[in-house]
Amino acid sequence: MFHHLLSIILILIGTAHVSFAGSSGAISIPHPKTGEWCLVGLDHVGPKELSLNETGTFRIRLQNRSSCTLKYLEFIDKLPNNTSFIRAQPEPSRVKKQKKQRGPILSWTGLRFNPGDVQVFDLEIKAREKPDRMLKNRLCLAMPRYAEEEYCYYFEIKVRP
Amino acid sequence: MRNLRFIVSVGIALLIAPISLHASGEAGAFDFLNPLDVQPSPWIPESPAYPEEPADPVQADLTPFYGEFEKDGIVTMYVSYGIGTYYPARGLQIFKMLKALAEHYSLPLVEWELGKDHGSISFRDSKRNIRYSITIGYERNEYIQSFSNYEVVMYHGHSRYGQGPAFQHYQNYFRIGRNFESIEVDGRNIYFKDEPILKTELYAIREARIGSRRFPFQYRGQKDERSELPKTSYTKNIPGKDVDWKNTRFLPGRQIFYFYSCSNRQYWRDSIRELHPDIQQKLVFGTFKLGYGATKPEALMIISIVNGIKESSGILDVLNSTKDCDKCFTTF
Repeated sequence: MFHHLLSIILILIGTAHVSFAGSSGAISIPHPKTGEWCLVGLDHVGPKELSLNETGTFRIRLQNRSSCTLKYLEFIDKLPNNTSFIRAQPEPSRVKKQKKQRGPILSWTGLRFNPGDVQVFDLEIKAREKPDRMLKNRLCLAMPRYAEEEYCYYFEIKVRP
Repeated sequence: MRNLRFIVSVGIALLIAPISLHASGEAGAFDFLNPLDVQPSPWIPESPAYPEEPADPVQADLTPFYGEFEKDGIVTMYVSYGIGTYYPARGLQIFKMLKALAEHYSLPLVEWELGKDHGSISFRDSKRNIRYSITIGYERNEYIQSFSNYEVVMYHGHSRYGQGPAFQHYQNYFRIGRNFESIEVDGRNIYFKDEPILKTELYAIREARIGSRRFPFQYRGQKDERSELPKTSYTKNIPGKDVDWKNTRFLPGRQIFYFYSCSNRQYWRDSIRELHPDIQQKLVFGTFKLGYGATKPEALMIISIVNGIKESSGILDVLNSTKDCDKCFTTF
């Protein structure tokens, strides 16, 4: 009886440590022709914590929540410092490696986003940061054909002690 | 067997502790909402321009407010989130929190509805047959219009050093403060397209052309680091102060305004009270210290109105017990 109860408690404690969850965010980008601010919702689903050298799989879901049609949109994923890029689906148009500990920059170009459209990006990264540090994953949108600005939002991933 | 008894008694104690805290109404009383209040990234407050002041809240009897709001059987509220605080899951968080709070207070709320994209919430008080309709937004002009359409108007976001609530981007201000004679915005910004350009004696007006768009600007980047404009911005200086507040239309009669942003009493009280001197007509729940990013205060503000808390000080106690900020809420 006691062992049975203890094992239930241990299972409950164990599951409490597994912190897989999604976060939502949003980026607003001005439409190049009308100037209207167009809201794109972001869902960032994957582990909230990684161990050193652990690979994490993340799903990023973009949804055009505005009434704007966005053409030639670029989605940029600035991976956190001290992380490596393993793979992504769909494959990025460009992977820019950075110097020293800075994370690579992935970009998907030429996207077209009608109102309500959803696009999903799956990617795997490996954490190389010291324990107890926070990894800052910046996600940005840009329309380089019309303007130089990038509009960003960030999510955090903790490196386990 | 002794171990088993110990585990069972610890388990019972853990179950009882939060229940007794809920009943007390003191700090931590609403900790049961914490699992619903997950933020995607940490909130970074802007450093305050004002030294700390005492809370010094005004006292108001809210009974006449509720009487007026409920006359037509429907109470309307608008909650707007500014840059840095908006994310689509806010509406769902408020919905879940309100349901948890309705259970906590044993309120007879029925017919719960969560709208498309989590942009609206409604429910009905079955005992008094009053419907509550809550809209959740993030856009500047919709926020301005909400003052003429809703009985309760709420904002959560930055004060932008007093320049005003800002939506979707740091430069999309609703100008309500008085300490900025002029503000910097991008010449392409649709909200300020037809504004007069200031500081022309310092910075001549130039014209930029991107594609088919032509627009005036004075310089690239920003002169004031608080403007949060990138180096690539085509910047112009437009009137600051409280020009948007003065041009806003309001619902006749009583309204409650809620601002959860840093030190807004110091920034905005004079503008608000010049236009609306009577706190029995337009009452403000605001802050006198730094604000933060949780959803709990909005849910508690709404449920306090639904619950009919009669004294403004009673609602302040509830807001200040959330521990999201350092008892920052006050009334003015």
